[in-house]
Amino acid sequence: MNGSPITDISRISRELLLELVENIPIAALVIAGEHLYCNHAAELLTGYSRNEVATFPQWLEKVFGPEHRNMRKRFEREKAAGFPLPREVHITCRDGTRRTVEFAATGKEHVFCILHDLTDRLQAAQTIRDNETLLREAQRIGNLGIYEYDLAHDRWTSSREMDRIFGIDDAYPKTFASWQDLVHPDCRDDMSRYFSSSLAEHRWFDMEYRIVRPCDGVERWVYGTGEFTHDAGGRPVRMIGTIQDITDRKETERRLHVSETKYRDLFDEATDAIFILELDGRFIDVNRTAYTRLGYTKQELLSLNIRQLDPPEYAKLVSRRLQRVRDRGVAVFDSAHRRKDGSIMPVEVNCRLHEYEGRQVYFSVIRDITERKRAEQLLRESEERYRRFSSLTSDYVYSCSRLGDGPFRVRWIAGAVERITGYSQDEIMARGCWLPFVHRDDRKRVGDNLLSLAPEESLIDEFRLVRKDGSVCWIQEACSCERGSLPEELLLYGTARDITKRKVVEEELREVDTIFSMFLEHSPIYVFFKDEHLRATRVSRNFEALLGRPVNEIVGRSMGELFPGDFGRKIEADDRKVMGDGVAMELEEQFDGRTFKTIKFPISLAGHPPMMAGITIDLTDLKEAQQAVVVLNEHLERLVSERTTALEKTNEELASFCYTVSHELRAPIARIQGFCTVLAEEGDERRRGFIRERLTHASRQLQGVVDAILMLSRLSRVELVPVRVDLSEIVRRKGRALQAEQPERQVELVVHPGIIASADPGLMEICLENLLSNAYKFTTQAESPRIEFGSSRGPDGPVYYVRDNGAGFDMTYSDMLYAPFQRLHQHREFPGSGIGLATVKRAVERHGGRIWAESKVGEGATFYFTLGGIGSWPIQPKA
Amino acid sequence: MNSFRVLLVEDNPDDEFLAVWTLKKEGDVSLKVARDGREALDLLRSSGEPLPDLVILDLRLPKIDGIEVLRRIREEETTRRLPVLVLTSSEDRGDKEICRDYGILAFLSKPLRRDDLRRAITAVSNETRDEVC
Repeated sequence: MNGSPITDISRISRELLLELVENIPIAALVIAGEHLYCNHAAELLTGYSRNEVATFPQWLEKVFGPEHRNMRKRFEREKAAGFPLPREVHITCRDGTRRTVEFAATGKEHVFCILHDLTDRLQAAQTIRDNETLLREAQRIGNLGIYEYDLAHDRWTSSREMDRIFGIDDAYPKTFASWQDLVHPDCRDDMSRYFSSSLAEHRWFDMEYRIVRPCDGVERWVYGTGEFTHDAGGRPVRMIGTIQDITDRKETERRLHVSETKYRDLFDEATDAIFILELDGRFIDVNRTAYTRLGYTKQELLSLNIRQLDPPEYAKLVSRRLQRVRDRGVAVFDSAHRRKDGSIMPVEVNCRLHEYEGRQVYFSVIRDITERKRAEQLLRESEERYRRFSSLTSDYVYSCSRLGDGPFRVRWIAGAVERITGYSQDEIMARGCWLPFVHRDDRKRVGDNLLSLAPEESLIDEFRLVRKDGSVCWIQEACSCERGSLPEELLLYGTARDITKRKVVEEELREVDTIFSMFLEHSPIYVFFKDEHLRATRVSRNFEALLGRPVNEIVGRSMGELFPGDFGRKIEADDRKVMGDGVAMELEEQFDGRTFKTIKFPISLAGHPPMMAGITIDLTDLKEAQQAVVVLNEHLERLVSERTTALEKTNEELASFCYTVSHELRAPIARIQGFCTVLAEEGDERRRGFIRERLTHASRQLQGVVDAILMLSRLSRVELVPVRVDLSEIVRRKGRALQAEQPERQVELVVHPGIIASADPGLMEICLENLLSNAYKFTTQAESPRIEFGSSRGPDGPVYYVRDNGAGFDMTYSDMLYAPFQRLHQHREFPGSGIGLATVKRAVERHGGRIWAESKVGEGATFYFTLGGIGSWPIQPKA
Repeated sequence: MNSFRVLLVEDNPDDEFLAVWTLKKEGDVSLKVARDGREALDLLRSSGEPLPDLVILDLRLPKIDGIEVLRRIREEETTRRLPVLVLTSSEDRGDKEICRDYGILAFLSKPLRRDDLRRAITAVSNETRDEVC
């Protein structure tokens, strides 16, 4: 067995086989029991490598998924049957794609399988099927037929669609002659020639032509194409082509052509010019009327922009109107166009927005309105002439006649009678005369006047006439009477004129004059008018009082007569200057102790002699009032300054008072603090007693200060009630009380009896108690103390005084007397709250009075006070 | 060493008592009391008397008030450099500023406290020693 050539060949061929299987570009599997071998192509097909699918069941599971058991069963069945037929199966590749595979197998123990991928082929087949369907469908929809012509045998075949287009069926003989039969007789020869030339020149056959369908005799348009195929010898053998039914398109084209021609004719022949314009003004099209009327050729006009036709003065208007067209779609307006020769043509433009070849354009119809404008102008001129003419004739003339005592009757009447009265000549003739139309209030007078006319007499009358429309007009009538041709016949010839306007003016003038007269009657200003001789013509009523004579004695007189001496002459000189210079003059004059301001000016009216007028204002009161205001202002300023000073003083006092009060409160408190410290450290009982006594004293002091402050403050706020007060009585009472407090002292108290004042009793009690107790206090060291209360007469009423012969004080320090808590004496000499005199001063001042003192050290003191006007300020201005 | 000379200018007897009591506690103090501004100025001018080492001055005084007294002290050549301690019930800022402008040792509120007084005496003594040196 070893080295047997057959064995070698068998081994070699098996290796070759394996090599072959591995490398062929067809997916192949070898299955032996559960074992599996798959070649490289199979790996590529499924995407699974040999290592991943080592066994056949694994491979089945991978490529068939849940179906793998069924597929195994099916495989075993097929294997048992000897794999009679290839099978199409669907496998799932590693990348998820589904593929259709033809599965062919052979073998029993070892099964050899070929997997043939059909997917791409099936898809191509499907695409071809789809394309064929589409083509058929396209031919049907596009009325497209296909034919093939075999030139050698003179036979053509055609698609069903082509047969349908030509109206033939399979029975129709399909030869060149029969095609010629189908072609419309009108173009049969042409088509034959075209075919022959295409054939000869190897050109495409490409022609639109008409046919007649044999089935129904209907004419149709077709579009035929064809390509010739030639044999090796250059002879044409075959022609393949298409036929398309284009009847509908041809019909549309024909109709369009017809309508375009019609439109063009209408467009060109229209009597109005028509422009089709781009929205920027460029011309798209114009009709013949347009360019001929403007004097251009069509090409010239089309090269222009509409703006070149608009005269500059219309540019703004046109631009506004075109905006309106764009906004609303249409506008009609008058404008003008400039012809080529520069002349201007007035036009009416009817412009609308139009859809043209998919965009918006202006479609304008332009009407030449030269004639209309000229007619309008003529009409205006004629109306004007008519109006002027008719305004000239404000009269009418008439002739009347009467017989015996009968009424006048109108014989003829002519002129502006209807315009004036509103009645026509016929209407007046029918009424006999116009007397019935005369105003009720004037009718009898007018009638009587006319009837009283004797021959050769004439008359002018003015009366009111009620017009036909009910309005009233004024008529001036002038007529003369003549004897007629008949006996007893009187004729009346007259003219009548509408004088309503004059009457209205007269009436207005009267009204103005009435108003003016009223003004002159009541004017507080002197008003005067003088004529050219400088005599008064009209003066206001108030001159009567000034000159002491009535108005009618002033009018007509010269200034020299009206005003005395130099003053009269001065006025005349001024007047002459005004008249001479012709300019107004303003001057201040003194007359009768009063001051006047006068403005005089010339008046010149056409047709009147020169005159002048003027007004005069009495400034005396004004000047006095101004002076009074100045005086009053000065007084007020002084008053304000006085009060400001008073207020400042009060503020200062208040500040000083606060300072003082704080000091007076602090002092006893500091003392109490000090004594407390001493008390804490002092052991000696006797001294402790003394300190306790000083402590009590200090707190009493504090109490006293608080009470005094409250008193002072109450004094300022308490309401003042002045009554009759017996001051002597109060002093006596207070003296007794003081004496009772200090019974050891011998003080002589002298009280002048019956000193009565109008004052507030409460405040007087406080005031006198303080003064008296001060006097008691400061006489302590006097040898024989004496206190006197009395009164004397001063310049501003009674002066009251309290006099003592005590310690007195240095007048140098008298300013400090009345400030609260100020002392002139050392405390230990004359103890006190230091607020007594401040209180007295406040009480006195509340009454509007004042307090002062006289003293010398060691010679006693006298305190004086008054009780003047209570709380009054001066209100009279000082002279 | 001579005793420390103090001139107390005070019109109220209780305040005088308290100030004197506090001064006495400080030991060897030779004390004079003026009871109004005029008396104080007279005492300072009298040629026979040596000037005090310290003036304790109340501001509210009869006849001539404290600020005026201070002004005149500073005016006078002989008293220009005299140490003055203002002792008052007032705490008016205006007064305080005026006094400071004239030059004072301190502006104290009543009652006089011992430590305030001691500080003033120390300050005066140091000044004096400086001058001696």
